[in-house]
Amino acid sequence: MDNTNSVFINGIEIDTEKAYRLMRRLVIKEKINIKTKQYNDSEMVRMIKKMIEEEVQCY
Amino acid sequence: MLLRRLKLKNFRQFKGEQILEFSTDSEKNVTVIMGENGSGKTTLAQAFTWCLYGDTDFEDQSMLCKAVVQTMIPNSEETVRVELDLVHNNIEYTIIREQHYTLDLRGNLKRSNSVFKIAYKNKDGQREFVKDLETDLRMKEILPKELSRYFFFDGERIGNMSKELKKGKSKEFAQAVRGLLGLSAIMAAINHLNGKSRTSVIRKYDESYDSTSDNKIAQYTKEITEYEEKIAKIDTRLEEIENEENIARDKCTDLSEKIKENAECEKLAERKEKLRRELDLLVQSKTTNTASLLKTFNKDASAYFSKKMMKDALQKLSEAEKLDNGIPDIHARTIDFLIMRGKCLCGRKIEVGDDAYNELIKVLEYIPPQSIGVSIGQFVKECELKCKYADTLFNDITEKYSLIRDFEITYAQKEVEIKLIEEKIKGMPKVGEMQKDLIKYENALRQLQVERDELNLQKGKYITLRDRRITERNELTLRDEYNRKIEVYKAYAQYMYNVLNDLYQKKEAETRVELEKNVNEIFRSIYNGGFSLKIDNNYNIQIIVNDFEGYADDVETSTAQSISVIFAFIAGVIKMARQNKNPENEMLVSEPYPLVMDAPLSAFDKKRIQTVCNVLPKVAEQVIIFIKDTDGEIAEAHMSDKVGMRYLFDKKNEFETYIVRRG
Repeated sequence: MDNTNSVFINGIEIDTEKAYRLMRRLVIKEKINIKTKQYNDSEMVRMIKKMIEEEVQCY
Repeated sequence: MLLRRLKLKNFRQFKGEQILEFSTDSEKNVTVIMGENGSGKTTLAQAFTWCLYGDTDFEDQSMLCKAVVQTMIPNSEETVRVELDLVHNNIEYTIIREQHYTLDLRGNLKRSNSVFKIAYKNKDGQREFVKDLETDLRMKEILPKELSRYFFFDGERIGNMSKELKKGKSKEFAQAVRGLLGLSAIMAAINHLNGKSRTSVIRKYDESYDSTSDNKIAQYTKEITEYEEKIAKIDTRLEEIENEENIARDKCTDLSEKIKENAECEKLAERKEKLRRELDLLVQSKTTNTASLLKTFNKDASAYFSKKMMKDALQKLSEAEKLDNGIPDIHARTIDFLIMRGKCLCGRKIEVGDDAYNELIKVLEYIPPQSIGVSIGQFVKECELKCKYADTLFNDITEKYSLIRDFEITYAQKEVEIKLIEEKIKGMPKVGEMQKDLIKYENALRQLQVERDELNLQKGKYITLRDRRITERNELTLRDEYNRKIEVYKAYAQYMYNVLNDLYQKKEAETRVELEKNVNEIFRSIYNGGFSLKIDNNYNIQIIVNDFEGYADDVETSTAQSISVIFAFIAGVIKMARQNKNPENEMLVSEPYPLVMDAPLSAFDKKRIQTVCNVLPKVAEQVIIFIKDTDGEIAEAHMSDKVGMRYLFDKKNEFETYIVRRG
């Protein structure tokens, strides 16, 4: 992993590009959900976890 | 949020079912509702807040049309209903509020059950209702009550709003503004990643460790959770302390100002006390003089009023000297003595029945006490004496009466002064009590400071303990494949949380600067004086004098300035909400809002009405304006090309008004 694109959190190396991609997806999802009210808080948390796990497992 | 339609049923003077459709055309986005004073403009504006929040400013809390009440028979029921159709976040909503009324057998109107419902069209175009328990929450999302007064704007309550905008707004207000400015998606993401609730992503990962690899993991997780709960509890209390401190600080400022203002009150109270004592003395003095006057009158009034008769009688008596046949200086007792002795002065013997005896008895008729001459003499003497006193009566009475009158005038003057003082100090609280309150609040502030310092110490201790446990747990979890994965996911969540938090702070500050710029632009276009506006972290607004560099204090404002500030603030927020709707602001999410204004122009001159009329339809997505005839004509003249709907009120009587659409 390119060191310029990574940071360490609690001893874990984070790929910031991946993290930014995730964040953009997350905020857009929140934007949509604010408008549609499709998911409640628990469902949103479950989906965010799934998003993180899918994105992270890719590397 | 765009308003489409308002449907009223028996709401106050709007009898029966009446419908108002608002202009939603982006070019002609203004709806003007015109009516004379007292025709129902404010009532209609209040119909919005009643429908959305169940609140009104009416003293009479009955919403049912009086004309309908008059036609009700005992045991019958009538309904007040307001329905507001609106579009929010591309969802069509109908907000419904109903209040049922029954007339009992005694003819008393009673409120029975009330209904609040939010209906919306789902993706398939089907109408659904928001669950009853969620209606308040959904309403908060559509338009928080804290902000509603700024969008449902009442020109007659400018004073309070202006004060509130300058200082003293709640945290909820600032949060609501942040939401309107488009930061709600970032706020939601932050909360979902690591909010206070147990359902946050990081909390869920904390609960997912597999502790079978090392049972210390479970123990550390438990301890971490406990520390976090303690920290959260402290944070909640710290927030409460901050609120309590704000309240206490405001109270202290308020009381100090009042004590200063009311220093005069003490002086007035002393003066009042002195006047009261003087009044008591006057009352005593008046009583003494009145008693003396009555005594003099009782004693001499008969003589005074009979003086003429006495004079006439004396005149007559002086002409009747012959009446007196008595022997001078001889008294009846002298005759009795001679008869008893049996010998007259001349030496003649006196016996009962003889001539001498009979002669002496005859003399008795003319000498005292029966002697008329003597009685007349005494009468004359008494008359002379009484006339002498009667001569002074008039002067005595005049003098005493004049004194009593003088007392009465002085008494009345002092009473007027006391009343004036009482009137003046009526609204002034007692300085002594205010001093006591001030000390109480100052003590409370000191105690809160001590409590906060202690809590911060404890919080620091818990944070250190928690972080130590997190590090220890990390060391253990990294040894296990499954737990290591959890650590990685959590680290990503933590990283995103940190970045989004920073982003939120940055965006919030940028948005506030942008808002300040927008608000100032609008303020300058409405009010071209030498002022500008400054917005602080809590969205409080300060009015700054431009020409006096370094003068940082807020300045006292006129009504026109205050309204301009409010207009500028609302229009600024609305303008930004509209801007943030643009797709390039992908991190921000916002919604345009309408402006519903009751009598907004009454405090402005013609020139400013023209400016406001030009500015508002441009910045707001939708403008609904309730206006009196004269202002309405000016307003319409200046924004005729923007007016999409026109209505006027047809007032039949005090209890019945009908909404009529104009061409």
